[in-house]
Amino acid sequence: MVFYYVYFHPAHSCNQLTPMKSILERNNVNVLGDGEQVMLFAHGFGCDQRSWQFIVNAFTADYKVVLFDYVGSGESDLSAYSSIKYDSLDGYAQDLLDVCEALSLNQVIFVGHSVSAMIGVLAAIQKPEYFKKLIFIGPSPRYLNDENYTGGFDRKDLESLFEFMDSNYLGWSNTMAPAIMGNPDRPELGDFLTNSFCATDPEVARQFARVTFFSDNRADLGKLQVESLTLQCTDDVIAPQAVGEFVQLHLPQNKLVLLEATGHCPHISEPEKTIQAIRDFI
Amino acid sequence: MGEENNNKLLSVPMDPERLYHQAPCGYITFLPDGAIIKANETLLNWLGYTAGELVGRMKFGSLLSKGGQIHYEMFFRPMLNVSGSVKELSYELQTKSGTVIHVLFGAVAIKDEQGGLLAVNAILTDNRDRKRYEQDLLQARKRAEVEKQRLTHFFMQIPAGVCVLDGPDLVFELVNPLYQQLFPGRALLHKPLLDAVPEVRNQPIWNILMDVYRTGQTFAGNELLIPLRRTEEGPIENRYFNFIYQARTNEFDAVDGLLVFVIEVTATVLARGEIEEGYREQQALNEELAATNEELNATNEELSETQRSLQQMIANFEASERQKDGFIGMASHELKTPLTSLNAILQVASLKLKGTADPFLNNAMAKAGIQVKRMTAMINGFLDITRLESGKMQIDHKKFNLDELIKEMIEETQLTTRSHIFQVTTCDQATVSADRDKIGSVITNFLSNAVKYSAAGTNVIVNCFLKSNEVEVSVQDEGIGAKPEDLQKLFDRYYRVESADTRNIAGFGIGLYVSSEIIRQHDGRIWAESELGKGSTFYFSLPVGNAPN
Repeated sequence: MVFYYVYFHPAHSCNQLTPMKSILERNNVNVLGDGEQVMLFAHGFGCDQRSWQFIVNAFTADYKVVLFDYVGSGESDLSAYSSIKYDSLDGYAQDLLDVCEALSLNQVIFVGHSVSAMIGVLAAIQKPEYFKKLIFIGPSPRYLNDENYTGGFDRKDLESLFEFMDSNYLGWSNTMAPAIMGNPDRPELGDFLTNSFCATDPEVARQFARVTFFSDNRADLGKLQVESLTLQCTDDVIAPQAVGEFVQLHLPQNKLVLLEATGHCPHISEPEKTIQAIRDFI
Repeated sequence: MGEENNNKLLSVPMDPERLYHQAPCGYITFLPDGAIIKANETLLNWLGYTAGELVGRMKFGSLLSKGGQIHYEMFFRPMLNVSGSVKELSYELQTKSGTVIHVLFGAVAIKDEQGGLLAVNAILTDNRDRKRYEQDLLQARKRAEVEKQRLTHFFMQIPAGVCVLDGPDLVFELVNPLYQQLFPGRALLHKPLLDAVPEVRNQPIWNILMDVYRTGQTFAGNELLIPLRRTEEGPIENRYFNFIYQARTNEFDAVDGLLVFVIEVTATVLARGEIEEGYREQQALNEELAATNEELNATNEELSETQRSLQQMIANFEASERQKDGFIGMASHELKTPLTSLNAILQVASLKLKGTADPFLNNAMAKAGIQVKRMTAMINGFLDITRLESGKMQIDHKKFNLDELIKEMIEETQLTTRSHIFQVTTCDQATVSADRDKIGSVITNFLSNAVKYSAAGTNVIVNCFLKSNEVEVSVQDEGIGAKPEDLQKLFDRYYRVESADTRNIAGFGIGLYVSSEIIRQHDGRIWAESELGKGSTFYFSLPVGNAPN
């Protein structure tokens, strides 16, 4: 497994028009499969395109599968990260549109996990013509509880997560040692990183977590004009069933499918069920 | 304890269940959905649950805080699925009583032959002490960060250029705004000094920096010239700085960077340069003045020298004058003796000749007598001068009748010359108290001059005029006269008017000088009036009535 660990350099701006080739490199775009119809898979917070590894093979025979990493995640170009641009989900939606434009994609089937569900909603509102169908795995328009709304978390829960992440994101010794010693850019650290899967730059992960968990896209749901599917796990702490129902209720043309699964990542823990549900929809 | 003993101990069968439950760490096993299927007693003790309460009833996630649950769902589970193991997660477990235990959490996936996840085996080690240290350390670090920020803030606000150069390559680690202003538009931060400001490489300042880094000795530069660019493309300018280079040391007292405090003083130095330029000009001017002064001094000295030589010349002159006067005096005296003898012989010869009627001899004797008289008068004149100059001239006051003296003197003059017509106006028998012989010689001098400087047959008018307190005598001729500029000098010693008219006229230029001295000693006045070509009038006056008796 390829692993990378790069110390974060903040405040790189990439507002300029970026040529196609560099978009493909910037977002580490990978195209697999032989089909005509394009399936675009967008990873959620905390991982990268490798999280799709248990289900993509099921589609490459019939579809052209496009995988990518958001800027700041996976093997994207970290130097393209801007703490200003990526301070809202709109920045990530732009990544999505950039990839579509770079590959001249139209009428794609979009599969978005977790926060990517809302990123997909935002992108499809902006450019509906790019999208044919949208599939959301564990979507949530808002994680925080609100008046007449159950997101699943109170503010203090999220603060404890951020604190938790600050001290624990990639394993205790790898996180705490640099935090205490103050040498996070010691290059050899990466080689011994304990839990290297989906390792994202800690600074980016920290901001991405805040953007994700503090976003509120409930008002955007009604604007979506593209047909969509919500895959809701029966036992998901992150996106409880009530949230899935809220999404289904507020999205025009949305179908809700319940997966008998525990957790927030059925495409990893229950790949077969997930594949089947997607196939049934498309 | 020997090997035998060890083997004996190891030969006792160990109960695996006992090892599991009494291990110094917690063990827990749960299904992919988190349902707990086994936990050891150590963990149960920590959590305060009985096996019955936990196993088959709770999920692992429910032991975690909400934050932990998110991490568990979003990181732990995907990681375990993909990697098969997770190590060293720092989790908080909620005990039955609601307290929190900090544990380090590691897990391995138990998979079936197809790779499907069957269960999760996890180990939990007590991390409470470490967590506490960790919190302390984090807090200490946070405080240090705050301090660092405060320090940075402080650095940023120091009213001088401040930068911190890190490591042997002197990388700009911190640049405050005033320092950056020294190089507006040049990128400094995070760059080695030689990359950011390459022009310093060949300057003394580079060696100074290296020295400070090497020795740790602080260097303070005062108004040091450092040619630098302001901007990346700008020209190298001569700039002056006051600055301090100070070594920064690490916790082992080894130099690991430099602190630079700098104030640009180019404007001040240049302004002072102008002042100094002015000062130099002033100095040059002063030097010129001094040179001029010196020249003046030299000139002055020359003048003094000239004066000294003049004085010397005057002294020499006076000495030679005295010698000459002495000589004249002596010569006159020596001449007078034979002349007196000659006069006596002539008088005896005249007496013997009386009765003989040889007209030639009588005439010759008369002429010889006249020549002797003239010579005697000349010698007396010289003697008068020497007496005058040596202060030996005695004025012998006697009362006498001036008219009579004038008459006598005219007669005496007529003895030697009969070429002129004398007209006399008397002054009523006025008497004066004076030296009769000397006043007589003055009158003779006037008369002989009138005769000498006027043509034969012209008039010589002698006037005596008595005023209220003085008597004035004048001798007027119709001769060549004198120029006004010569008139005053006529009374100077040896002065003779030089002209074609006077060249053939004999005389030593002493008569009027002696006369003026005589009149001066009588408290009288002597002067002349003249018109060139028309004639001259010479005057003298003597006081009357109050004359000393």
